[in-house]
Amino acid sequence: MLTKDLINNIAAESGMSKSRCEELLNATVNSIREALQDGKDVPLQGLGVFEVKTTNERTMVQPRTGERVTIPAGKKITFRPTNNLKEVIQ
Amino acid sequence: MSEKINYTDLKKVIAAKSNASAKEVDAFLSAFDKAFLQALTEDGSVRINGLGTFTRKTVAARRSVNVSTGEAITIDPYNKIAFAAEISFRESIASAPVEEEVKKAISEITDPIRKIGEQATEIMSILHDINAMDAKPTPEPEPEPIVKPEPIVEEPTPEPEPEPVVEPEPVVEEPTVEPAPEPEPEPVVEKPVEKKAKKVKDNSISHPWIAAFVTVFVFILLLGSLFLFVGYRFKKWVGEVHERTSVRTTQVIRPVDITPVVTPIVDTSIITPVADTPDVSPVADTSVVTPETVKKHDSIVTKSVAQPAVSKFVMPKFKDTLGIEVIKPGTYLSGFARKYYGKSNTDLWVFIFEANKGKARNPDFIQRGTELAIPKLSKEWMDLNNPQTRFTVDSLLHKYNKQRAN
Repeated sequence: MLTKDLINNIAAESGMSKSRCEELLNATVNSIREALQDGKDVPLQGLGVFEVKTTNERTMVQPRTGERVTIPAGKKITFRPTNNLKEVIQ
Repeated sequence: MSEKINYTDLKKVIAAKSNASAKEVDAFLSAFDKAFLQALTEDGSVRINGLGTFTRKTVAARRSVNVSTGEAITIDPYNKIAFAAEISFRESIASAPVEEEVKKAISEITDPIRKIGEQATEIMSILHDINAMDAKPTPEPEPEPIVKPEPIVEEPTPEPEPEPVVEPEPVVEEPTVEPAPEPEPEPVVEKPVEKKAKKVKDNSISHPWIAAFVTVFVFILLLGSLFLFVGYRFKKWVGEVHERTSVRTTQVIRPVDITPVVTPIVDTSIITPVADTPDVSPVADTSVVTPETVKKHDSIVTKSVAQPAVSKFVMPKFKDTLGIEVIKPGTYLSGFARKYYGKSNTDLWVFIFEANKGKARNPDFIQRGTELAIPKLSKEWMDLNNPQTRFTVDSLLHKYNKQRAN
């Protein structure tokens, strides 16, 4: 499902206008992004937690050329769903 | 895992960004939850612009082992939620500097500086203590620096510096300078005041540290030179020792000129030591006889006039021993010679060495603990005035000097 459809559904659920829902969704997404950029984990109650994890520096091989590339240490975002959510999707 | 923000704080931020009330945000979020769940269960995936895609994926059944019993078990298939962050978002996060690395880099720079600063303050305090030990009033004004700038700043009149500073001083200083000797309050105080004024002026952080650096550097230089000097003196005292165990056994390095005393009369029959010991096997001539050169040897020149020339190198026979001496640090062959043969006969150490040929190779360095048998020498062989004795001894000395030179 795309964002647009999701917004439609939210609007239908909540009774708020679509534009308002879009605004709120954007605000939500932005605040989540900001918090993650800061390096902090963001919980979404009932759904899960967005986590920031650090990756170690590692050497990887280009599959085509075969040359070794060193990828520096960095971060990645993971989403850990709640147990409730895990059950629901079974 | 990193620090987790509060859900309520998140809601506040959302409310602030969208100019919505807390109620509105709550309503939205609950609707969002429902829609999200519905989308996942029905569609199987949800894409949110700016964040990423949440996908329901099925994990196939697989064989495994019960870790406790060891029996084979089958893990049932199940669904999981996979989240793939949006590419731009993913990259922006990935390239952000890792906090620990940043902290590490900063600490690598600041830690040594901090350490040096701490050391500097320590050194400064030590210096102050040293200064305080001199019973002069100069350190007294030191607690003043906070007070001093005020008189300088407050006085608006363009008077020369010492005056406005000195005037409030008697009022301020009296309570603190009381223990200090009376006769020199003003002139001594003025100097540190000016110094203090200057010091207070450039209140930069590096100033005391530079002084500390210089002090430490000079200190290290002094210590280093002292250490080297002490080491050199010690080495000299011990002597040029090759091995720890060997002991320097020659007392004096005497330049010995080997040219023997030669007089026009050549008559070997007069040489008594040879006649006395008939079983001494004559050794082949090892020294060079030059009739022209005359060696100056004190005892022979002054005491005897006509001496029979000696050209044969003859060694005394070592029959009896006078005693056994052990080589220790501080003992030497010539010392033994002096002890057993007389004060003036230190040169006879050569016989001691010769008698103990097998025990030591180099007369200068003999192993500590070596036992030397001191040979008994007949009167003639103990008499250095005797030309034969002198000749033999000198030949041996010459031999050893040659060895030493090599």
